[in-house]
This record gives sequence, C-alpha cells and structure tokens, in this order.
Amino acid sequence: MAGKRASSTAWVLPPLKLLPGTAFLVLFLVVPIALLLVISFWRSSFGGVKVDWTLVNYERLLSRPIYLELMIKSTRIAFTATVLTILVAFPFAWWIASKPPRRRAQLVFLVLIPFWTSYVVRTFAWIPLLGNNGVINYVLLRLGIVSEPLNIFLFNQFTVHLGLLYVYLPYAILPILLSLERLDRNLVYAAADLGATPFQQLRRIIIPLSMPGILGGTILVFILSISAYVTPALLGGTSGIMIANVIPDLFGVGMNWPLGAAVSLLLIVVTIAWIWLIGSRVGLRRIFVEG
Amino acid sequence: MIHRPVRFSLLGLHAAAILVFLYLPVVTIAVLSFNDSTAFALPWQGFTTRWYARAIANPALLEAFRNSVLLGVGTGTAAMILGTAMALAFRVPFWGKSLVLGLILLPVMTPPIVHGVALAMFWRLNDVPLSLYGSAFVGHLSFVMPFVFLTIFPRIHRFDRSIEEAAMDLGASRIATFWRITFPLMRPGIIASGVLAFTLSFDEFMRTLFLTSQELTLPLFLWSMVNNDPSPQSTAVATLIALFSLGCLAVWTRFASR
Repeated sequence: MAGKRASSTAWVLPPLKLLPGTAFLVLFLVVPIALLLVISFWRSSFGGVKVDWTLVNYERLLSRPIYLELMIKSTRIAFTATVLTILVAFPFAWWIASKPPRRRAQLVFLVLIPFWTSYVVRTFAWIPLLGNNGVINYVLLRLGIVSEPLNIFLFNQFTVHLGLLYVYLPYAILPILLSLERLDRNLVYAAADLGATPFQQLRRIIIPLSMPGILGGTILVFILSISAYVTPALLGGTSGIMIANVIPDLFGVGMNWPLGAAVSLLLIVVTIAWIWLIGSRVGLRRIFVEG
Repeated sequence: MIHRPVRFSLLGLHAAAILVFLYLPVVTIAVLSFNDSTAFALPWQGFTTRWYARAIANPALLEAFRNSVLLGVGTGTAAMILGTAMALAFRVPFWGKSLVLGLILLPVMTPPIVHGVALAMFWRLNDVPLSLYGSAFVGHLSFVMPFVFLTIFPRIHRFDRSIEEAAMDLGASRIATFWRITFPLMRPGIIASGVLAFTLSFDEFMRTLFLTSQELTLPLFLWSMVNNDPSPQSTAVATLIALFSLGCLAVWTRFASR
C-alpha cells in the first residue's frame, strides 16, 4: 500500500527536515569515502600525497602477497565467525521468543547488557581467562587434567573466532529475535497439526519467516568481523592478524596513504559484495526498517 | 507433541550455555579486579580495592572519563535532534526516499575502520587538525545518527496522525502542534534514542582511534593501558566502564519500555 502511494506522489520534494542530517552524512561519510577512492589513484609523497594519477598502489596491492593473503584470510575468518554466530544465535533467540512476555523482557535485558558494554572491555575480558596463567589453565592444573599450562587458548585464529563470536553474538540475537517475535505462532501450530515434523516446521515455516532478522544479523556480523581490529590485535597474536591490523600503519608510521586507501577500498569492495549477495535475497529495506 | 519436551530441554540447555558464555568473561574480570595479586590471574590472594583506588587516583583516567561523557552528551544531543527530524520527514512520501534511506543506512554498513580512516584523510587534506570535539565529534555523530533514526522511525510509523490533524483543525499552528502534541507523545522514544546514542558514542573506539590527537576517551585509555601496562588496574578500569554502560542501559530501559 505504501508503495502505491509513493508512486502516485513520486514527484513530491523531500521535506526540509531531512536536509541537515542527510547533508551531514553526505559531507562526512560519502565525500570522505569518495576521497579515499581518489587518493588510492594518487602517489605517496613525504608526509602526505601528491596529485599524480597512477595505478601503482593497486599494482603493489596485487603484487605484494601480504595484503591479498590477509584479505582472503579475513574474509574466511569473518565468514566462519558469521555462520557460527547465526547458528548459535538462532536457537537461543527461538528459546527467548517462546517465553511469556515478562520472562522474555528479562531475557532480552540479559542480552542487551553485553550489547551495551564496550567491545574493548569485552574482548580484553578474555585475556585473563585464556592466558598461560589464565583462569582456565589454573582450573585445569588444579584439577590435575594437565601438568603444564596449555598455551593453545590465546593468540591464534581459534581465539579470534571465539572473540568475534562473543563480541558480535548480540548483534545476531537481537534482529533474529525481532523477526521471531513477529512470527505468528499459529502458523507453526497449524503446520504441526497437519503433521509437519519439528524439522519441517523449522525449515518450511520458521526459518523462511524470520529471514529478515537472520540476514540482518548476517550482514552486521560479517561487516564488523571482516574489519575487526581490536579482536585480532588483543587475542590473535601474530597468526591471528587480520586486514584491519595493517591499515593503521599505512596511515601512521609507514605513511603510505594511497596504499592505505587502496587496502581500505579492497575491504569496502568485499563488504559491498557481501551486502549485495545477502541483501538481494530480501531487500535491505525489509531487513533494517521493517525486519 | 511427543517431540516437544526433548526439544525444549535441549534448547534450554543451549540457552543456559549461551548465557554462561556471555557473562563468564565479564564476571571474571570483575572478580579479578578485586584480587590482591599483581597478576590478573588466579589464585585468589585475598580481597582488595586497591586497584580501584589506584585507578580513581589516576588523573589521566578522570580526564578520559570526562572527555567520554562530554563527547557522548554532545553526540547524543545532536544525533537525537537530527535523527528525529529525519524520522519525522519519513512520514510522508517523497522523491528519492529509498535513496535517502540507503544514505542513512550507509554508516551502519561501513566498516568502522574505513569510516575512521576516510574521515582522518578528509581532515588532513583540508589541513584541519584532529581534535576530540571537532573531528572525533563529527565521526561519532555521523555513525550514531542512523541509530536514532532506526529506533524512532518504527515508533513514528505507528503514530496516529489524526491527533495532529485534529490539533491543526482546531487552529494550532504547525509549530504549536509539534511542541504540544507530537513531541510529548514521542518524548520517551526520543529520550531512549538519545541515551542509546550517548552509549554508542561513549563506547566508540575504532573511529576515535583515528580521529583524536592527544585527548583520550575511556575506551582509548583502556586500550593504551592494556597494550602498554597490563596491570590488574586495567581490570578495575574495564569493570568501571562496564558498570557505567549498565547504568546507561538501566536509564534507557525506563524510557524505551514506555
């Protein structure tokens, strides 16, 4: 209905109330990213950039394996972390959604607490738990399960996955929960009455109807994971390093802004591809505004 | 029907495991912050509040806290005003609506590090020095504003416009209608979105890292502490930050549930 109305008044000018906010976003988000694109075709000079159009940054990006390898590795880690997060979040959200309203509100509050807590704090919180002298090793030693502290918990790719799952789990739980709360339970009961097995109910009714939440979570978790900086820096060690960890050096000590811009754009391209891949299935509007 | 009890207990087990997973690390640092040991690890060496005493006596921490609060209040207020205005504008159909929606969603879908780097370049090429209340404020606001829009938009969508039309029929001006009718009805939602905006700014790390010079916010302070001097004092600082966020959440819940 809204769509019909929009098409008949499609010529109406946007309200003036929109101007300050949109102008701000254009100036401080669209323009800077466009600038990043432009700079990636310039040359680096002492302490800045030189307006001299070139493809040298992209050549370097493709010829030095470190950037491409890190990009592929980051994509792989982000993909695995996203799939894991959704798989863990969905049954949990379903469990919350099946509770009576009062109980549900309390449980949502329990999910919101970590969601509202700084992710620097929450990532750091794993170090005293997983380290060589950490709590887990302490418990294992005291129980006599191991005789030496294990150094397998911290500073590797496993820890990065764990950290990403931990930090971004609420970003998947909350949109999935929103979708599930909107789902009419009678449809599930009807399917059950007609003889659908629990698996069929899940696959044919529950998952399709909660798609906007699932895909919304998929997009958010992937974007935040692929560009993760804090998690690999604190928990990843040298083997867990990701693409975002090399970007600050290019803008700081290493000082090659154009190459840094090219690396950032590579990250944007993968992100856009993911959003397009996921969003084309349902439509971003349904995912973020109605879903 | 026979499947049910089994399915639910498995789900419950999974849920219990998730809740433990979500809380174990944070509770661990909170507990360790009271441990009278120079390493933030077990064994338990006795209860102490000296890490808190030391943290609170640190002028750099107080400075960072003050910076974070002021930046959060500034960002929250500005985001509340701009975001609400945009949400109000979205009540009517207009040309380019989906394009504008895409623009509003863009900050949510831009990798934080890319946003931070792009803005830092933008300021440097324009020869504007980085500062907390300049470049960092702008970075925070352009990231936080969409969240205000996204939380207020559904509320406004549900809002019954006939009340406003009745007020105007009875002779109220557009401005009077907004301040006497629309705003009071939306106030809890607007305040809730402002608190959310404050917290997002208060917790922001990635953009701030690129957009501030000397002045640190609380997350940056914790970051430098963890990287340079990981003493048990950092567990106390982390616990204090978490407690402050919890307070914000409590305030938010009061308004969001109305």
